[in-house]
Order: sequence, then structure tokens, then C-alpha cells
Amino acid sequence: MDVKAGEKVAILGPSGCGKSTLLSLLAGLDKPDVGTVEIDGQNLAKMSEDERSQTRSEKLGIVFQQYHLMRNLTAIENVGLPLEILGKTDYADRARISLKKVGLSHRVAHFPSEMSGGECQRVAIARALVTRPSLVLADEPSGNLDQKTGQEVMDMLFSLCEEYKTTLILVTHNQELANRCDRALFLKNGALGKLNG
Amino acid sequence: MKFVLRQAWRELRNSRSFCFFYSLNLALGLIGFMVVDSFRESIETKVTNESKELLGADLALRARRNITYEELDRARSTLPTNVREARAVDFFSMAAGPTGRSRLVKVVAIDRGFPFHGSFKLQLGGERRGDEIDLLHERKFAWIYPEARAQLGIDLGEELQLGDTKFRISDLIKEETGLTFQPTDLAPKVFISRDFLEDTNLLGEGSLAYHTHLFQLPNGADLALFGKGLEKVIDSPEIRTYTHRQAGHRAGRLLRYLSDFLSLVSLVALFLACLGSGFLFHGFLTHRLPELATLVSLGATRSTALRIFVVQLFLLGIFAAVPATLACAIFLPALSGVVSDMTASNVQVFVSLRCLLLTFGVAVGSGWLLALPALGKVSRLRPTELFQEAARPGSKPSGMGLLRTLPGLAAFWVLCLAQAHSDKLANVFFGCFLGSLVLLYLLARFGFGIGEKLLSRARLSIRLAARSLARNRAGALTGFLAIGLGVLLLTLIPQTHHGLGKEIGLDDAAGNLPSLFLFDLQEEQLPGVQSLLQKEGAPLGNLTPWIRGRIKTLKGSPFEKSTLQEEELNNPDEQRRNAFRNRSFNLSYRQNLLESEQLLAGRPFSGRFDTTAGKPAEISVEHKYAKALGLELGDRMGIEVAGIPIEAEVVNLRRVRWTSFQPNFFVQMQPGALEQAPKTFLGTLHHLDQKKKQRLQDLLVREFPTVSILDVERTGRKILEIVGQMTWALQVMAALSILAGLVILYCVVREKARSQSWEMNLQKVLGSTTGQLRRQVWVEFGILGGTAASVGVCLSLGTSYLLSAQVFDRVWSFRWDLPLLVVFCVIVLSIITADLGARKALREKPVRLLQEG
Repeated sequence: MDVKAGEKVAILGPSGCGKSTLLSLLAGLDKPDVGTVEIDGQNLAKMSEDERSQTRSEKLGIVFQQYHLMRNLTAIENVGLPLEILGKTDYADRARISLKKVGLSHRVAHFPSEMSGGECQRVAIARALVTRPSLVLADEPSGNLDQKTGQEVMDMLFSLCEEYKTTLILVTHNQELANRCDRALFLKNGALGKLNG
Repeated sequence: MKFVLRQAWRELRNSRSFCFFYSLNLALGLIGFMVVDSFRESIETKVTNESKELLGADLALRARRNITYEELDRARSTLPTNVREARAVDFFSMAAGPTGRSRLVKVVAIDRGFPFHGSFKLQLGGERRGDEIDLLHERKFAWIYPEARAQLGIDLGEELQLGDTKFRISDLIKEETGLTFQPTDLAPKVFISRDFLEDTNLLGEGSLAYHTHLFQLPNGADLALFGKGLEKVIDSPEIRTYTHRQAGHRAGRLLRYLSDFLSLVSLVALFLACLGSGFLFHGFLTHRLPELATLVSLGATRSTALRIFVVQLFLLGIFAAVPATLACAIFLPALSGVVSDMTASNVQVFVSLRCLLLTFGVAVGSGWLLALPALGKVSRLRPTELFQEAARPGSKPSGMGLLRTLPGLAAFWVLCLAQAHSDKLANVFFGCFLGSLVLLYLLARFGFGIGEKLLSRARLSIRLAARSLARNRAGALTGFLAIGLGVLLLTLIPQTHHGLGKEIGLDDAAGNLPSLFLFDLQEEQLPGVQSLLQKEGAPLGNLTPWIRGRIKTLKGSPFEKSTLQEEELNNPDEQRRNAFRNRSFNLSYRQNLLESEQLLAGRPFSGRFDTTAGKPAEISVEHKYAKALGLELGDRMGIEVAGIPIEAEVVNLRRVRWTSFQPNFFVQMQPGALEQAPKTFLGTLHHLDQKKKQRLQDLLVREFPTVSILDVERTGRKILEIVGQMTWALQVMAALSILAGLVILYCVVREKARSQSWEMNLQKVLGSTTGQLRRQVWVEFGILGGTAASVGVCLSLGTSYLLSAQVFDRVWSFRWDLPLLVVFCVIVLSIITADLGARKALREKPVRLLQEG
């Protein structure tokens, strides 16, 4: 699978087909037994764990279905976290801007437990994009949300990726969302195939 | 590193209630540890100071001969330069009063400065410390025991003939300290200055006298260390080195018991605190693992994640240790005042630097060490599980978990060795603890699964509770281990205390103390003496025959040959033990054991000795004496009494409670063998007031001038005072340990209940009523607390038995009420605590759970 810079690719497939495994490999959270995973020409499979962590912090943003926000951090602290890991000192300002981008300026000091599911996912999107990564991996971002909120969240994700020219790999069950991507792939029995030409 | 600190601090700051809960629980455990350890240290200091008064010095060398200058120089070379020294010589001699009446007395010739610790309490001169005694050393004055006054027919100001010179009686001794190597002496004491000893000409070539060289070390000197140094350079088996601990094998042995017991208490308190903190940290880490996985997915390395956690552990430890220390510093003096008032025993409790450092070490270090198995989860963390909907990253078990406990266990073993006074105690304690840990683990590992199957048809609440314990294995296992070990530790102290209490004679020890000891009673005098005392309303008790014997053979070999040459023995200890094997010894005969004796091995006497049966006479030997002679059950001993040989066989070994002040002997023979032997008798008189004591002494001296009378109340009271202190220490420590243990158990149960609040809330969502859930909680925690406490109590009984066998000379007695009480308390405590912990979850709205999901 080759994904061009700025391209949006949807990956569809039934439960248990290996979507999560694929995302883990792409995120450098796991190593492939065979084959390679390259981001901007760098082979993740040949990197040490710390190097993969470094690549992840610089080039990748991840949006989980369950948000996975730090319960004890406020919205701004959650969003600023990747910048802090990178050692940036202006993390607070940039996190504030990022939160503004997702429409949560009024929720800066709130904890995840004080926000709705949609708001949490918007914080997660802000966190994924705050470092301006070259690739965003999104795992069913609207899977835990109602249709309207899910729609809003996905609009926001597409719009921000468009604005930042960020590559997006979106794992989804939703055919409509897949249609909004540049192309869609279907994962079945561990093999990827084209869904619609 | 800056990010690590910031992140660690931020997370803690933003989860204040979480931190408060953990820090509070840990602080409670630490307060328990500090209170117990501080009390231990203060009591030990107090009892040590008092026991120094028994010796009158810090260290002493004692021999039946003059200690040479060369030997003294060698001894001095091991001691600090600013040591104070004094000498004392004590021996038995006849003394005569102005009327010519003569009696055996114990002469004690002392140097200026003696005693370094304690004082003389005199009838005229009041209390005099060693430095305040002048006239005794300037003139030929003597101080005597009051009973010598009647026995010698002498009064204050009159002269006492000692050898070739006379001493004027300048005072009577009400109480004295120092040189207490036995609880009783066989004659009243006469104190003179050593400056005038030579004038008596009593000590010539071959005279039997004890020469004691006493040392007072500078404040803060390590007595045990210098004592050992002294023992090393003094290679002659004739010289014994004494620290205050060894002054008199009777009180000294009890002091060693107390010291070991207090070490045990300290170990228990330390382990309880570590257990509590380890359990809490384990819960904390498990709670935090999913977030660490998120952090790794955001690009942080695993080592960064680990460092954040370690910093948090450190901060949480400090948060707990600081208020615990402050609380102890503020409230301990007040608490010690209350305890002193309640027990009429003055002890100043303070938090020492050692205790403080240990507390912080426990707070921070123990958390890391005990969390190591859990920290291993960080390295096994699989952030890929974040993509799975229901997975909890880091929750998968690993076979390496047990290996990761090894550094923690090794560290605790080292702590045990450092904290206990004796390596043996530390090793036995640690071994028992480790064994118990393994057993509890195995029981929990397989027991809950079996329980679930057995209870599969029980009522719903029981069935669900059993299922929860079996399925929520990690939580149930850690809870079971923590409660089981906590109960083991908290029961261990009172159980050991019970055994030691029996040994020391807690039950009215002072009440059993004889007022007068009568000896040298001739057989033909007995009816007259008994009738006289009966008439006076003071019956003669504990009448015991006293026979002098000589050991001829041991296990068939002549005794002379069995005594090894000095150079054949490997170390001074062996040499000393060999020197203890005296050929002459005292023995007696009696059918039954006294209440102060306990049969350790073998059987009671079969009855009277049958001279026609051709069998050896049966003897009972005190176990330490048997050890010194190398005697075991069934061994033969050839004894000679008044030139007549008697073949004897050891049929039992017994322990003697020497502080009972009853007439006890190393060797007792069955009745029938020694009745015809030349002997004297000794007996005791009890419950006499001072007036009656004097009247009886006057009467006995007049009617039976050869009978020796000794007032043992004076020495006995001093020893019993120390025994009283020990008793008090044992009781306070036992009570404090129970309290600290219950606090830890409360924390453990509370944390376990809190960790299950999510499951409870979920059941509520699924339709369980609050009543059903509460009943389930009661059953679950009742089972958990009850089974863990029952196993813990059994393990505690085993451990206390092993400790008593290995460390406390088999001082053990079963206390049946304590185990039942502990199990009951733990069940109630578990249920109440779990109920309180679950209330919060039960009050929560189900929708909140849905939001969290």
C-alpha cells in the first residue's frame, strides 16, 4: 500500500480482519514479521523502539475510537502533551490555538470527565494535529458518537487535514465516510484490495 | 527530565482525591510503623539503662583470679581512650560481730567511682551514686545488709571483724546496684573499700574470690561492638566478658528475649507498613497503565513513561511520609504521656533520626521494590491494545512477575538483618514470612477457583461473590496475600508475647517473690524450725534438699578426660563453655516439677528409685546445663555424693524460670536415691512485712544460730522491676502492633473495595438492586477476609512456634482466644470497610458509568 502525501485513504473491513493490527504497524507500535513500513522514506521496521517513538512524536498523530485522553489532564494539557514530549516550550500557546481550531476555546481547563463524547473526540483530534504531523491515523473516530456529533467530528477532521495538507488513513465501517476519502481499500483475510476502483 | 517531572507533578496535582486517598492510607501505615518503632527504641533505651544498673557498668571482665596487667592492657587496647575504670573483688568469708557471733558473709570490696550506673540507697546516707561515696574509701568503714545486723549481733557504729582487721559499720544498705550476676547470693553482703582489702589478709594464694574489672564507655559508644572486641582479645577461658545484657544469666536472658522481641516487633511493623504501601502502589500502577500506553502512543518512550511513574511513586511516598512524621512528632510525646500514666511506667518516646530515615526509606523505597512486579507491566505494555475496544493495556499476566519480586525480597532480607539484633531472628522471621507468602499465593491461586465450583449452586449473592473472587483473580490474590500476611504479622506479636509472658512470669511475679530465703537447715533442725515458723504464722515453703555432688563420668567416660584441652577448642565461646563444666555441682531430688519448670523433652520420673532393680537413678537436667555438658536424653552420668558413686540416666530435660525465685537446681534426681546422703535443706518464707521479717530473723538467729537467712526481696525486687518493664513493653508493643495491623488491613480492604466500584456500578446498570449488591459485597469481602485471616492466623501460630523454638528457647504457649478474635475482627472489619468503600459506587448514577465507558 502506498499513500501519497496529503492523500486521504479509507480502510474498511469486517471485525477481526486485522484493521487494528494494520494501524499498530503503521503507527510503529508493533513491528511487522515480514515487509516494511515506511513513513517519509524511513523504514519503521528497521528502527529501534525509541527511534519509532521519536518518529511517532514527530510525524504521526493518532485518533482512537475511545479517545484515550489522560483523565487527570485538562483539555489544554492533553493537547499540549505531544509538544511537550517533543520538548517544545510553546506547547501551551499552540495547544490553545489547536483547541480553538476544534471549537473548544471554552473548554480549555476542563477534564475529560467534564466533557461530552464529541468534545473529548475533538480534543483527541486537536492532540493528533497539534504537532502538524505528516500522517494522521484515525481508528473509527466517530464510532462512539451519535450520528450528528460523529458527522461534526469527521467534518472537522477532514477539514483540518485538508488545511494542513496532512495525509489521513481512516479505518471505518462507514461507507459514507469512506466515500469522502480519495480512495478506499478493503481489508480481508489479511490482504488489502481496492473497494471501488 | 523536565517533562517527566512536570508530567508526574501535573497528573498528581490534577487527581487530588486520588493522591489524597493513597497518601492517607500510606501515611496511616507509616504512622503505625513510626509509633511502634519509636516506642521500641525508647523502651529499649530505658530497659537498657536499667539493666546497666545490674552490672553497674557498661562492660566488665570477671574472673576467679586476678586479672593480669597484660590482660588489662590488651582489653584497654580495644576500648576508646576516655574510658572510666573501677575494680571490685567479691568473695565469701566468715565475719564476726562484737559479741563474737560469726556468720558467713559476702564481702564486696569496691573502688572509688563504683557503681558507674545506679546507686546505693543507704539508711542514713540516703541515695549515693558512685562518685558521691567518700568516707567508705577514706576510713575502715563497712556497709552491711540489714539482716546481717541480727545475724551477727552488730549495730551501727560497732566494729565487724573481717580477717585480720576490723571495720566500723557506718550504714545499712536498703538497695544497691552493680555486680548482680545472680538474683540471690547465699550470704548477706558487706561492702568495704578495696583500699583496705589487703589489711584483712583474707585473700591469699588459692583463695576463691571473684575479681571484676568494670568499664564505663563514653556516651554513644556501641557497647555490643566493644563487648565483642573485648571478647576477642581476652582469650583466657577463666575470664568472662560481660556486657550489661549478660549480667546474670537470668535477668540477662530475659533482656535478650526482650531485645529480640522488640526487634521482632520492629520487623513486624516495618513489614506491615511495606505491605500496605506495596499493595497501594500496586493498585496505583494498575490503575495508571492505560494512560501510560496512551503516552507511549503519543511518542513518549517506555523509559519516559517509567520515569514518570517512578517520580510519582517518589512524590506520593514523600506526601505520605511528611504528614506522618509531623503527626508523630506532634502527638507521640502526648501519646507516651498517656501510655505512661495508664501503665505507671515512665517512658519518653521520641522519633529518632534512624526511625525518620527508615520511614522515608520505607515510604519511597518499599513502594518501588514492591511495585517492581507491577512495574514490569510497563515494559510489557502493548499500546496496540489501545486500538481494541475493550482491552486494558498491561493487564496481561507474565511469568516473569515472580522473578521481579526477587529484588524486593532480597532488599527486605537485608532490612531484616539490619533491623534485628540477631541474624538468627532475622533469618527465621524472613524464612517464615517467605514460606507463608508462597503458601498464601498457592492457596489463593487455586482456592478461589475451587470455591467458585463448590458454590456454583449457592444463593445468587454467594454465587456472584465466589465468581467475582475467582474471576477477578489479580485483585483477589493481592487482597488475600495482603490480608493473610497482615493477619500473620499482627497476630505474631501477641502470640509471642503470650509465650514470653508465661516465661517471664507476668502473673503476679512480685507476689510470688519470697521474703526470706533460709538455707543451711540441718535435717534434725527441720521439725523445730517448721514448728517455730508455723507458730508465727509463716509456714516454711518450698522445702528442698540440697546435696553437693561431683561428676565422675559423662556418657561412660571419666569426666576429667572429657574436658578438652584449651588449645583443642576452636574459639573463646567453646573454651568458656568448657570452663563452665564444673566438676562439683549442687543437686536435689523431687518427684514433680515446680510451676516454674517446664518439661522440654523426655518423660517425668517413673516413681521412687528402686535400689534392687539394678537400674540407674533417673535425673532431670536443666536444658542449658545439659547442653554445656553435652548431655542428651538417655545419656548416663556418674555422680559421686559423699564418696558414694551413683549411676544416673537423663530421663528429661527441663526449662527453669529462674526469676521465680523458687529453689531450682540444674540437676534433680528421682526420690529414693539421695535420701540417705548428707544434705542440708533450703526453704522460703513469703508475704512478710518488714516488722515480721525482722522478728522472724531475730527468733531464728536465737533458736537456730547455724541457719543462714537471706533477704532476697531486695535483689528480687530490682530484677522484677526490670521484668515489670519488660512485661509492660511486651503488652504495649503487642497492643500497638494489633492497632497498626488493623489500620493496614483497613487500608487494604478499602483499596480493594474501591478498585471494584466499577464492576459494582456495572451490575447496578444491569439491574442488581442496591440491597443485592451490598449483600454480595458483604459475602465477597467476608469470604476474602475470613479465609485470609484464618490462614494468616494458622501461619502466625506456626511462625511464632518456630521463632520460639529457634530464638526464644522454646518459650511458646498456645493462646486459643486470640486467633478466634482476630479472625472475627478481620471479617467484621472487611465487611464494614468494603461496605463503606462500596457506598460511593452504589450512590453513583449508572449514567456516569456509561459516560466513562
